[in-house]
Amino acid sequence: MGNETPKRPSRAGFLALLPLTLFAFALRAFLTGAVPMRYRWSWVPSLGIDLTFELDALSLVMVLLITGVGSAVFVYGAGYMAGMAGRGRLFGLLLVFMMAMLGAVTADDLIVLFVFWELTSVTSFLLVGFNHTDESSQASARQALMVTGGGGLALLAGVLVLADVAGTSSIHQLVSTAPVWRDDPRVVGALICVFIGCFTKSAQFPFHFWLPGAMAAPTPVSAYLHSATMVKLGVYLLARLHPAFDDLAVWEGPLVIVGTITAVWGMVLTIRERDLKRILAWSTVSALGMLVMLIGLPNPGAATATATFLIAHALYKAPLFFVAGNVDLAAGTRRIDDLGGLGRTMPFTAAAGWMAGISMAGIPSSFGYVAKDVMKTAKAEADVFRWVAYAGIFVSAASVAAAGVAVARVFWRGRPLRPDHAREGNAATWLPPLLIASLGIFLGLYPAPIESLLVAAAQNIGAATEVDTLRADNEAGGTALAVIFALGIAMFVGWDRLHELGERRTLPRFLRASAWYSALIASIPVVAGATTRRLQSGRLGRYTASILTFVFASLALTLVASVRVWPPAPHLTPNPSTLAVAGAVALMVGASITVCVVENGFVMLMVSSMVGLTSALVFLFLGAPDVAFTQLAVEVAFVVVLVAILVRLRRLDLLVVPHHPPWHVGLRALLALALGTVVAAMVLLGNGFTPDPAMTTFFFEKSVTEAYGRNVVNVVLVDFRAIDTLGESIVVTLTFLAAMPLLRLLRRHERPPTATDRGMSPRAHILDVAAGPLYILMLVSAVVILLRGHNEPGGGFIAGMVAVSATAMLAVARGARTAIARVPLGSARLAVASGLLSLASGLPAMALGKPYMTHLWATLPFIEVKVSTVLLFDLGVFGAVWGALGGLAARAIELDEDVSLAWEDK
Amino acid sequence: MIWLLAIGIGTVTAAGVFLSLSRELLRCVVGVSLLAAAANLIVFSSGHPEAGPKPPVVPVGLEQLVDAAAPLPQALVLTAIVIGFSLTCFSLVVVLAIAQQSKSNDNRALRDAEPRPGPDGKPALESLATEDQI
Repeated sequence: MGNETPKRPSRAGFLALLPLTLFAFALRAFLTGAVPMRYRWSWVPSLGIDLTFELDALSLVMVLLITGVGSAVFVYGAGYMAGMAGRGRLFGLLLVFMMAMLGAVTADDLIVLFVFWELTSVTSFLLVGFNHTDESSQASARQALMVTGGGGLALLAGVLVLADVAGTSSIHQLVSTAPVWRDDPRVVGALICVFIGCFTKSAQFPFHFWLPGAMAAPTPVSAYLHSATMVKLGVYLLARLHPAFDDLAVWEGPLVIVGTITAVWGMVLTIRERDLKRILAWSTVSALGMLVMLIGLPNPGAATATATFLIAHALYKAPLFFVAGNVDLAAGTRRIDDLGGLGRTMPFTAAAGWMAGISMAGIPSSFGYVAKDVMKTAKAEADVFRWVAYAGIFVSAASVAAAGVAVARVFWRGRPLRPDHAREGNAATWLPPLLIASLGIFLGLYPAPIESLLVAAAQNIGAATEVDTLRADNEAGGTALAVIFALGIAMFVGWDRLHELGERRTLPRFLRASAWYSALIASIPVVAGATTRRLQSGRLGRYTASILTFVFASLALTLVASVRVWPPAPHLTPNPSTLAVAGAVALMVGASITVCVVENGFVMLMVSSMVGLTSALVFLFLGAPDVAFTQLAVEVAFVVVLVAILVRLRRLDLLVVPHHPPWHVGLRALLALALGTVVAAMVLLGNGFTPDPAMTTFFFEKSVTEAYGRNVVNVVLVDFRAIDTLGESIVVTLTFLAAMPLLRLLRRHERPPTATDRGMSPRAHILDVAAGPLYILMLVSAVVILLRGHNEPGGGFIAGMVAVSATAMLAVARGARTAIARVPLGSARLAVASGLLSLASGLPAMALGKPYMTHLWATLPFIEVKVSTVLLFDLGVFGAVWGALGGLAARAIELDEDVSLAWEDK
Repeated sequence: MIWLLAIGIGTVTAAGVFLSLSRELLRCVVGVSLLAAAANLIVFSSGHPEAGPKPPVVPVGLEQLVDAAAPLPQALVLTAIVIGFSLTCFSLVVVLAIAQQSKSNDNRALRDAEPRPGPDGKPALESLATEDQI
């Protein structure tokens, strides 16, 4: 693995110019005082979502981190990946990631922020799984995506609720209007969801386990995504929302508790590690915990501390990752036991490591010390959370030890050189860490240049007043500092012993978050299987019952929740019309009850058609003659078809009623009564709703004057709503065309006829004789009904149904083939041709520049008869109904007679 | 009037539900067609039908109609009746094909699409029907 002659860095490193330019622009924007800036484009105006981007000091801190570390990462990546496969993919993904991050930290709209947030999760998944042929990489990538992506979903839920409660999804407005809405009880639920989103992203306890797994990514990725930027997105969002919730207990409590647990536990896990990169990963988890805890602390200093530590951490952790990557490249191992004395052969990397290590340990003269100092002040001010200060001391001491392990153990010149083939790589690998780490030292010595930025950012996070806390020399903290260093050095010296202790005392399985995660993932197929087996029982009855129960429940809930205004109690006036309807309804109720109890299939059939007939009566008595006639014609054809099917079923011995146990009948009756009651209640309550009379008035006024028709129902069908009607006649044609292949299949597989079959389709001689004239009579009436339909009850549908009855009658009397042969063009062709005729009848209007389906009228010159494209349209409806349903009815009847005819033909 | 309609609609709905939950295929279809009839009546009742209204036909000599039954629900119901009929016919043909194939009109026997799980928890493939069983 030793790089005797360093490889040339990849030219892709020049991509660093892009983030570098952005960095320069961001810096310039701040120096010239152009911050805050706002950009706004409308995105989903109907939902009030705008592509609003706002660049204030907090965003600027993030943007500087993203572009600054990004520039270093591109240069470092070019050196690190020199000669490795898949460089292009890595750089492409890193660019996408960088853009997503920039979008996320500048978005002002929560929904827009969420979109970029998820984009960073997806690019993180692709980058963690960069070595996609390696199975452990795959597992790590999946785990990272499941945790952060799942958290993202929770975040979306939280964000949506917040936006709903606040009435805006703009963070800016959300914060400024917070006092108005934040006492809403839904806010607590929303905050829990937002916490889950941020805690998963920023690897907080108990979601911390995915971050060390993500170290399967190449080192530039680990340094960039999983230390400096992406994992800070959760921290960023919490800081962003902080001003809206700053003194709520439900906001501060979880942040401080979870943050502190994460900080401490992260350090405990750091001590247990021996892999250089994983040591850095766990200490990153701990640092993220510190940041979350700082946001939750209820004092003004905490905001400054958050902003300072945010930068300080990036300035030392990114170089340390680069250093770890260089050591890995040079030595071929990251185990600290196999490394030592590398400062001799890798001077530049070692220098970067030392500087970053000083900052991480918080030794005075480094920016890490400045941050630690500000943090200490913040914690000291927080009396309520005294224990947080003790936890802070432990974490700081452990950082000292971890920095010592990561740097001193590896590079200390006094140690024997291990491994002895390790050599410095190309300049692109050591220059970026050197630059960033020296910046960390420079800012430690002269914090002034960054001070105004940090204070401005702190004002975005909390109500921080102008606090000048960036002092590199704080005497009051001297004792605490001494304690921390003493403790840290003790931990560094005893690292191996502590490590052994940690190795031996592994946590029981049920306490490990990663074990919970694995159990959760493993349970998904199990639960899904059990649910599917339970829901998909394969029984038609259960499916129907569950659908109907759901319908009942939703209707019942709606009824319970709505304002119920019952219509006035009925009073039976001796009005003949009311009495007629009452009689029809009584018949209907009787028929409905009877149809449920009869055994015999034929009787059941007759009774069920009674329901249709009585509803025809209701229509007739309530001023709907067209509907009544249609219903009557349909009932006739329906009975004919049903009888044909029944006869066939009987011949196949399939009319036996299956056994229904009493519980089955009881449950069905219960559900039937429940639904019947709810539907009746719905009808009663719906009566209280008065429809807009304008619609009815419109039809009444325009029917004659504009559509030249006196039968308003027909005018609505063929003119005002002609396109609906067109669609409906096409549906009728389609059902016929769909049934055709089935019917053909049923005929083809007919079993050979037996002698007993002959008597099954007896022909009535009288019907045979009468059929011919009757057929002609019915067709003539159909044509009359069609022609007069525009002015009197009638029209294409009714005429079509009369013609269908005629065909069905002929099929029963003289055989289906005769009946079908008598349909002009043959049924299928008639149906399709009629559909086309209806379609075409709307075209002439377009030639005259009017909208499709505007009917044209003309008076024939000599006979003074008005003609119109309306008639063509209605003719099309007539033909479609006749062809499709006549064909369907005749073929259903044919199924029944098929055998006997075939037998006779022999 | 609405009370009468509500009673009628409620009963027809109940009968439709009762029949569609039957184990016999044919009764299921009849039940669904009853539910369709109930739905048509519901749409019709939304037009606030009152006792003894005039049908929405403009008398000869008049240009406008003033007081008559609401035409739009009627137009909707009219087409719904025809479509309901065509769909019922279609389902009857399907029922016939199914019954003939599975040699049973008991819907518990219809397990071709979702066969019972075999001993290994996966669907038992041998119970799947072959093409020539139709």
